[in-house]
Amino acid sequence: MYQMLKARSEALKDEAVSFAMELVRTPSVSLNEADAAVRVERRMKNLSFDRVIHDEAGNVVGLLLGRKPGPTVLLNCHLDTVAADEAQWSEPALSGRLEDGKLHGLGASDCKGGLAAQVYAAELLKRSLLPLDGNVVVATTVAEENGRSVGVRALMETTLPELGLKPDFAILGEPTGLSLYYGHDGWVELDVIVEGANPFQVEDSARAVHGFFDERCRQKCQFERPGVAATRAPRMEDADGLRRATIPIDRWLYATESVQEVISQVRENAELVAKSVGAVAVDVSVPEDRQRLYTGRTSVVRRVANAWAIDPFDPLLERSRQTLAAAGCPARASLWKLDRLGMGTAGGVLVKEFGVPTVGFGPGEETRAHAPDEWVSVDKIAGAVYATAAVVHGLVGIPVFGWTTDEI
Amino acid sequence: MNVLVFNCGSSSLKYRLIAMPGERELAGGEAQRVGPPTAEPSRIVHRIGGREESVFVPMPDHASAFGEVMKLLGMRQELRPDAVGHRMVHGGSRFKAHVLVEADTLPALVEINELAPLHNPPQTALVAACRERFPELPQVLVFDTAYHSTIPDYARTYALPAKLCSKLGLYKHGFHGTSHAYVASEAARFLGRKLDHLNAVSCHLGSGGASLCAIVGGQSVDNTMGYSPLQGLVMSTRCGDLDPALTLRLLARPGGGVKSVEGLLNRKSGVLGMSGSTADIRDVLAERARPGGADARAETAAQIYLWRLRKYLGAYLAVVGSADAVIFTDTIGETVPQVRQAVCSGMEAFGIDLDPERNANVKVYPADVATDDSLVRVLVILTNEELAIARCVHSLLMGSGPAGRKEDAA
Amino acid sequence: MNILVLRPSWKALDYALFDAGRRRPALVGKINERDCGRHGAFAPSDAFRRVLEACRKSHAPGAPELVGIRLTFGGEEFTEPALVTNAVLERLRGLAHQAPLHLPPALALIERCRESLPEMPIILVFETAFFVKLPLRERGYGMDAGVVQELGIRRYGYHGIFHETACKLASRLVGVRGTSSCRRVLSICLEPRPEIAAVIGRRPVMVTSGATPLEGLPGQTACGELDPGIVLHLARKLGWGPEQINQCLTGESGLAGLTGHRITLDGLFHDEWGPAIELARQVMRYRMLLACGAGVAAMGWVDAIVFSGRYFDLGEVLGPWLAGRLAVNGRSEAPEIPWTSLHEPLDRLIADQVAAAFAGRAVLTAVTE
Repeated sequence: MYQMLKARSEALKDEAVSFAMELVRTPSVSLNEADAAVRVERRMKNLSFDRVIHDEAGNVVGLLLGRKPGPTVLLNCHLDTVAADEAQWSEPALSGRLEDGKLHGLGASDCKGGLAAQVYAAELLKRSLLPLDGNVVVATTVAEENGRSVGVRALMETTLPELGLKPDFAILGEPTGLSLYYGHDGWVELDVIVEGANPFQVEDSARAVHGFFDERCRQKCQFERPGVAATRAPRMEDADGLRRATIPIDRWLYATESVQEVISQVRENAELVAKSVGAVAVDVSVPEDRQRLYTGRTSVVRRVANAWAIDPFDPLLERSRQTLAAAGCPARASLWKLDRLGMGTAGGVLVKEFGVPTVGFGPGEETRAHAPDEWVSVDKIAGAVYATAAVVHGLVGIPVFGWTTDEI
Repeated sequence: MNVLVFNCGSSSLKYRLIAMPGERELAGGEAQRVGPPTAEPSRIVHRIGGREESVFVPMPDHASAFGEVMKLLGMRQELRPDAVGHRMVHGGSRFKAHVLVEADTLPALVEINELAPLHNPPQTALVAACRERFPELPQVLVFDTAYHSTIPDYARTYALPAKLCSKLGLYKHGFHGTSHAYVASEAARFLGRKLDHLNAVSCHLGSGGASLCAIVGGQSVDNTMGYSPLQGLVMSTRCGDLDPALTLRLLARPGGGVKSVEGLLNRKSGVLGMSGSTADIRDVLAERARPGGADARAETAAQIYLWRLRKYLGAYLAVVGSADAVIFTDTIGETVPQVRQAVCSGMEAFGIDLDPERNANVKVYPADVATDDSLVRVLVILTNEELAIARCVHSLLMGSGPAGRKEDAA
Repeated sequence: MNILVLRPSWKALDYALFDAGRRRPALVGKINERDCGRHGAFAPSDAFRRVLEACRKSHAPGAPELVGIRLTFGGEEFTEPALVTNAVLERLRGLAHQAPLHLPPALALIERCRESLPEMPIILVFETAFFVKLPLRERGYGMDAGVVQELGIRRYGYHGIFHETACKLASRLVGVRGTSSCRRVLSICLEPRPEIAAVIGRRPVMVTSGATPLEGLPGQTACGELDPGIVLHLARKLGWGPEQINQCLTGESGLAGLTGHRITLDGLFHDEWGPAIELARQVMRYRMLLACGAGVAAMGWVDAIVFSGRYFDLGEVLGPWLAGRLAVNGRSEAPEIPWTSLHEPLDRLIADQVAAAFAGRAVLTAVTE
């Protein structure tokens, strides 16, 4: 069966790659994904999806319906990209140039290559005439990079429930280099606010607090990853007759920590430092942004990307590993490093808020995400089409055990 | 020579003290609820001279149960054992005959523990305890799989990649060998033949496990159980033969871990799984005999159980060629005439002609329940694994070597 | 009547065109991956177009007037050949999950065939039809009743067309007891995945295959009957998932596993030598003997043995050997069991079934609607 699947994925390779190219050439910086969404919708409608939905948040969802109500597997990729810093690029960021087996351009690795692969993985299952027990939901969601998973939250809160679907597993097409990733650390932006009637004490306290966290941040600790990733100089202002200093801190979040814990820990430290200098009040909050999606809908988001990880023995990871091995593309299980702030995946929302076991499996490379001269290997896109289809078949397909026997 | 035979279950320890070569039982009994304390206290039911007594004593493991049994026996001079025989379920590929325990035996036993994770480890522990406390006492291990070491390659080989089989040792081991060997020698004795001239199919139909053994020249040439005891006949709670694709389907079901599928196939299938009410084929057959007959599930259970048995009997009769006898033994084989009837009637093609009258009225064992004209005898023989073990111990220690089986029949 | 016979599988489409009145096909061929598209992805509808082209280009005297399609699986629904109608197609779609690799491409082929040749009658013949009425005792497993129901499992045979015709042929032999009608027949189908059935009259009472074609005798690459404990052991010991185990059991086992290389059943008994080959030969023969013994027990007697399938001529080797080992009454002095072979290829048998079904199509339509 895998041989047949492989042969058919080869036949789909050019189509999948040209779709990825089309997407790379279509700008889709967060909150401005309208054009790209229309292209995804059009493509899905031309393929064999049973239904294609364009929801209010602007997500595009394609469905393959199985013969039973479940299980349901969600294939998810974000449609948006970060904004390119064109000065750093050696060519136009939206070139979509195909050369030496590489597709170049903004979002090639993160994660338009993965998006195209997921769409065509579903198409591959359909064209291979492999019947399904459960459902496949291919959801390309908006406002991930800058929107803290607004799109995927709308998908899970509204769109899928309205369709009567509840995912039992999710696969993110984020860059993993065709390894299976099962989680990553997160981060949170914090504002430490120091207030008081005496402006000099506020100023001194704020500097002390900033100094304290800056020191923390510089400490090269051998045995422990730093908690504080960055801090910036205090912003001073007058507010309601008081003097107020705001010290922005970027803080990593590890899988064992909750945002609340981190906030109280930072507040405790800041209070100790600040109050030793002057009579001030200290508070810590997470900044919020009001965001307007391209569809016009607005929402308020906190600047947090949750850390998440599933159990390394989770059946989803185990079954994915097993089917990939059977399909002849054994995959290592690992975690995203996310060594730059500001990155995250929808896994935080899916795992922590909706309890959906999630893995990442995509053709892009983490090191090339959010980096100038981003590219993705087209062979890996084709590989992802085949391998994702194999994993999905293992999860919701009707097993072909015994039927692959010698000619009958 | 007094031979003390141990038959060690996962939470019990049966023992019998047999005077050899007279084959007279001096004492026997069973230590029950060996292991961590349960709702009921652990005890030893001790049998001697036709009397039975219960001794309540905590026995946290098989070694302590062994100690208590030795205390009971040690009270009387004439009950002191001269040798110990252990029933071992699995001998792997290392033990192809019964052996005297020596210094290097224990490590080898530990190595094969994983082949029979339920049975072998307590047995191994018992052997170790016995050797520690009574280093002078000779111990002999008698393996259930050893009798099947004569199964030819073409019958023990699975049609799997050869390298995989040699790497993982995936061959037919066969089980119930001690019982099959015993009834074969009893059958030879009953028929007045030499064991090495006996061709037969032996049906060991226990209330739990069951297997058939094809016997040519007194030696096992095939057994319905395979690498594990799951293969072959439908048993009380085991499924027996199954399309491999079905096991895969079960493994791929949500929640279908290896452990749960193993539990399903070993403990919730077979007669129990089919009938939904009982694991005992006797209950199913009794229900079937009632006016109005059994319900659909019980009827299915009875049909599939008996049919699989009949097919294997035919298969093994074809393998054996000119069979002298079909032997029925162990609880179901010995006591349920309907099973013998269902399996042996209409088998003229193999020269079997069952006498329904004789079959229904077995009072003395061994019994021959075939008609006088039947070309193949149909024998009902009580199995006696402990005696078989005692014979092995005796013959090994008396210097006739592990080929003791042949001596028995002579 | 010119009959086009199609045998779709998930990776190829075999076809044969029979002229009216001739036993041998005017045209025969196979479309497989190599013929389809530049990437070699086999698609049934594309393959059908190629078959029609081949028919047009050939020098066969007439165009097809009737299409017969052989399906490997028809579930409990189809006990006879069926004329394709919308209702029949609907019923077939409902069965697709039971043969997930075989029925969907066959359905695609049928749909394509109806599209291209709207007026053409299409008759389906089913390999499992002969075995639908296996007795309960034979078709069931010693499994939990709930699981059986959930998975919808039962035993089938997968070479019913060969068995059915072979048994008709065998019934003309002179049996062991000198009777001119052999009613109790061991039918041995020698295909890449061999299958043995025990048949009384036209009623099978035993078959080696199971809920899928994997169970039973070993095939050229399939393991056949296997201790369930081994499947569990592979999962536990090697950490293999069910898909990986399936690959091993269906694609790398059987004769290929035993000998270490690809070998046909024919090659096993005729051309090749060596210790591994010798073992594989003995294993195969032994497993056949076991199945035959079980078959005799199932029927209570045996009147004849009949071989069929593409390797039917192995009957020359296996026939005398089995007949000798199965001597009735378990005694070698008993008269030997007669055996024979069905020489005709599967396409011909299908064409015959299709023709017969078409001749009685009034009945057929009534039955299938």
